[in-house]
Amino acid sequence: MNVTNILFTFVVLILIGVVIRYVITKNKNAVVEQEIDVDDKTYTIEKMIQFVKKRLDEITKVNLYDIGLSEEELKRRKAKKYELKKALKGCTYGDVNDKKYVKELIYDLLYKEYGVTEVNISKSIPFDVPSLLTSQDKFDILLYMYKKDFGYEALTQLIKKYNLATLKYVAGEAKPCYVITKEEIDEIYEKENLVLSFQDKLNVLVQRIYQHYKGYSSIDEIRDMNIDGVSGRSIRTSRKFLKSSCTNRWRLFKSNYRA
Amino acid sequence: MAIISFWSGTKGETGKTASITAIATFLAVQHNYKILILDTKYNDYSYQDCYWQEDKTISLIHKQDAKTNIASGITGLSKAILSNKTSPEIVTNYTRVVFSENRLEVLYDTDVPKEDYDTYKKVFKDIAKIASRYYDLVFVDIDSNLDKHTIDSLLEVSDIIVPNLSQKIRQINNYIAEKQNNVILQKKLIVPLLGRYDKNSKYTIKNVSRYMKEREKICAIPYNTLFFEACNEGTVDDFFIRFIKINPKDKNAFFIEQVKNAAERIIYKIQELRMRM
Repeated sequence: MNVTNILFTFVVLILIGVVIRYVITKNKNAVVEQEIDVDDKTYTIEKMIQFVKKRLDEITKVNLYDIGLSEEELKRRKAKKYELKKALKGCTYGDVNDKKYVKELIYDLLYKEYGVTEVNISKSIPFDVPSLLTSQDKFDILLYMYKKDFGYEALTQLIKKYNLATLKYVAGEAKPCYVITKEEIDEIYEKENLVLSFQDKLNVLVQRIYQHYKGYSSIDEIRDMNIDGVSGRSIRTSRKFLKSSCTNRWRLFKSNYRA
Repeated sequence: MAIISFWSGTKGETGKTASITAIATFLAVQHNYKILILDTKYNDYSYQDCYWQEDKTISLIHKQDAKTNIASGITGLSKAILSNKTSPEIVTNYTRVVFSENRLEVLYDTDVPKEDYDTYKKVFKDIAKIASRYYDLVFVDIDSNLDKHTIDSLLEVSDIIVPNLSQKIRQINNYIAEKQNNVILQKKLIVPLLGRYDKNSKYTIKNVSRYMKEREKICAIPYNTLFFEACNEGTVDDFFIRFIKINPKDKNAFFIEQVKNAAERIIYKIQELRMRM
């Protein structure tokens, strides 16, 4: 009887050992970081926005007490998480510094985690085929490149250089008005003949994602410029850029820019 | 409070990192200062090797942790600074701790793309300035491979410059010439230091000081086998805790004595600087 008991205990212990070993091996091999499934739509702007939203949610909502950090590290991580949360909140109110911080984070997420490269970036915005670029793409690229050189004076410089603040007659309008047309943007883009590095392309893409996710859509970059203001109207026919008569700056008046 | 930059005019082996490690760790163990080491080298593991033994087995919890963390090190901090987040307390969130309660921390970066490094090297000067508002002592390890503009901007914001020399006559001559021509070196407090010092060489502290026409004897960090082993094994903190009260007859006593001398000279210069202000 005793021998049977000992044998039985021995078998049970071996079984427990095997189970524990199996669980440990399984956990070791478990892939925590899910690989991103690459298909035709992976590198579209919509998918990237979804990814950025999900990742920022994960970062800001993680329970730091579950990770098992040291006291010192926990303090730092809490401070960093708070800083990010503050920036995510602040950027929705148009704070340019918070916007810059959030954009840097999106840049890192896309470059380091999502695997955006020189090759696949063109699936989101066709940088290499100018004929496929929309007028908004072209305007975003132009504004980004001008911003690199002139900072917040980029829009003013662009308007000055191409003398865009002139009265024009537009089809369907009886009176002449101040307007920047699609054709003008296309023409300027062609004249500028810009050469974009991968960083430039990714920055343009990051701005596009940001403006849909946290920013002010298509006017997001324009409203940061040194201008008197941006005004939007729902009546589509009255989208105009008007020059301020009393200052040297430019004012977006009664406009709801759509490139 | 004070920015102490360790600089070398030539691209030679002067033992700059080892000297900073020795002096900063000694001060952290012996005094109650808040100390930061800022490493400006590109993808350099020297400080990691000095203070931490890397655990190669990445656990499940660490994998999850990496997924929820934001960039740390100089890259993360420079991004925050470039976004105008410049409160002094922010620096400590991106450092790695050697001794807790801000006694000794290191700010460095590894595995960074070259483009990122080129961007953040422009903010080294700002990092040092912001950090000096939070820490008592900020030791800056200036990489000799940095461009002249970045090196000059770092030297300009420094309160004390520690030119690192070796026991080579050409290097000493180069430093003497540089000192005569460099305006920044002329107007800052200087503490020349011989790295990897060999007391059996004819270029002794006394001889070099006399040759350089220095009023005071220059400082030196001697070559010490145990210390340099500790620098490779991540046990520098343990080394100093063990040897801080050493028997004067011990063969390692000369090393500790010289480190103490260099550390005290730096503290003395800081006090001199405060008196001037």
